[in-house]
Order: sequence, then C-alpha cells, then structure tokens
Amino acid sequence: MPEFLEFGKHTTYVVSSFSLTMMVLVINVVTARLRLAARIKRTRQRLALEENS
Amino acid sequence: MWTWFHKLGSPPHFYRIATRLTPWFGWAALLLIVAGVYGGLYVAPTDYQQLDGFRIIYVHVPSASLSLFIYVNMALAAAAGLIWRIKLAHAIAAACAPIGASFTFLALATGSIWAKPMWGTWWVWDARLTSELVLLFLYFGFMALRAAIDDENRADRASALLAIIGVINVPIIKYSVDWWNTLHQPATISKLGKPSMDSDMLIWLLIMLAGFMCYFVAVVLTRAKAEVLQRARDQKWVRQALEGK
Repeated sequence: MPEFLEFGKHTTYVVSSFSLTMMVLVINVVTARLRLAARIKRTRQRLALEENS
Repeated sequence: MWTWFHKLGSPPHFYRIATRLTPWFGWAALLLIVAGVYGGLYVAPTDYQQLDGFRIIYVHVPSASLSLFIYVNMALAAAAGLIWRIKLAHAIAAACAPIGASFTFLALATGSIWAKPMWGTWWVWDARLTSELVLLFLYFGFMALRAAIDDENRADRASALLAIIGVINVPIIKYSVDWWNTLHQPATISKLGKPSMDSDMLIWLLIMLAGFMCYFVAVVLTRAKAEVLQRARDQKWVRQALEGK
C-alpha cells in the first residue's frame, strides 16, 4: 500500500469507503451522460426520418 | 415571481437553463469534492478516540444528508406535478430517484464499513440504520413502479403518490437517534450553533457537503434533460434545441 494511503489500523476501512464513494459518483455521472446522449441521438434520428418522409 | 416560476416550468426554457448551468455545477462539484477528499484525508486532525477511522465521516455524512435531501426534493417535485399537473416536475422527480438511491446505498455501505471497526459489527437493526434501509426500498419502489406502468401519465401519478407517502420516513430517519435509544451517534452538523465537531474537522465536512450538493444538481439536470426530451419529443422546440446544440 502506498504511504499516502496509510491510515493506521483503519486503512482498509477508510480506503474502501472513499473508493466505493468515488466509484459510485463516477458511475452516476457516466450513466446520466450516456442516457442523455442516447436520447439526443434517438431524437435526432426520429427528426431526420420525419423530415425525409 | 409567478411569471418566473411558470417560465421555469416550461420544458424549452428549462432545457436551455439546464444546458447552461450543468457545467458550472459540475466543475464546482469536482473542485469541492477534490478539496474535501484531500482535506478530509490529509489535513483534518486525527480523532483522539476513533483515530483515522473517523475520516469515513467525510463520505458517510454527505451521502446520508443527500439521501434525505434528494428524497424531499423528489417528493416536492412529485407533489407539484400531481397538484399543478406540471410534466416537468414529474420529469425532475423521475431524475432524482436513481441519484437518491445511489446516495442511500453509499450512506448504508460506508456506514456499515465504519461500523465494523467502531461497533464490532457490519450491521445492527438499529432505528437509524433500519429507517435508512427503508428509504432505499422507497427509492427502489418509486423506480420499479415507474418502470412497471407503460402509460406515462399513470406512472407519474402512481409514483408521485408513493413518493409523497414515503416522506413520512424522512423525519423518522432524522430524529430516530433522538426518539429511540440507538447505537448510532446523534446529529453532527445539524446544530451549527453548537457543532459536535472541532472546526478543523468540520470545515472539510461542509466543503464535502457543498461538493455533493453541486454534484447532485449537475447530475439531476443532466438526467432531467433526458427525461424532458423523451416526454416532449413531438414538439418544435426539441428540433430547435438540438439544432442549436
């Protein structure tokens, strides 16, 4: 374990709590952005279809 | 005031405002969370009783606070949607649910990790922990109900009712540590006049809390934009908004 991640006898608990939190925060951002991007893409495709028909 | 409120309730206006505000809240969240993590892990002094184990507070308390804050916001949005039939309000309520569920999960998980070295167990059926678990099930119930009903209007109404009824759990969670004899410690930062933490420790907790708040706003705006696009797909402004992007 690198020295900057040493928190005495509680290292495992502290590091796992912070890692889990950061992981969930990142997943939330990624899923929200992917969802919006997919929705924009689908809407654009539909608008293009409507224009062509 | 009412004109502003009505204007904000209009999907095209909301979409524009959300597009402008999201990066500001996103960057503010990043800066505050990075500062909060650094301060919480390396600057805040070690607790004389819990040693470095207390540092889990910097992720546990903001997650728990947000889990309640988001639920109240979700219920308010759902109530506004139900009473005034504002579709945007239902979209915001729907956007809140997954974020609130993830913060509730984090509050439970980090609390459990903290409990092991301090209480000697991962979990106890304590009033605070149990009511927080009920909150997680309320979020799941809200999302499952929305997913189970095909008709959007019916899904909005049914989930709004569940969200409003579930609000009763919020004061139960908040005051469980005062009403019952629990293993969980009393509130740390709700009584700012007389905080139970040293100011050198408290400052980083407040920074982390501010970061989580900004994070929530940025993510809920992104999710709400996707919801709004789905709901308003047949309207002219969608074309303009996407072309202007």
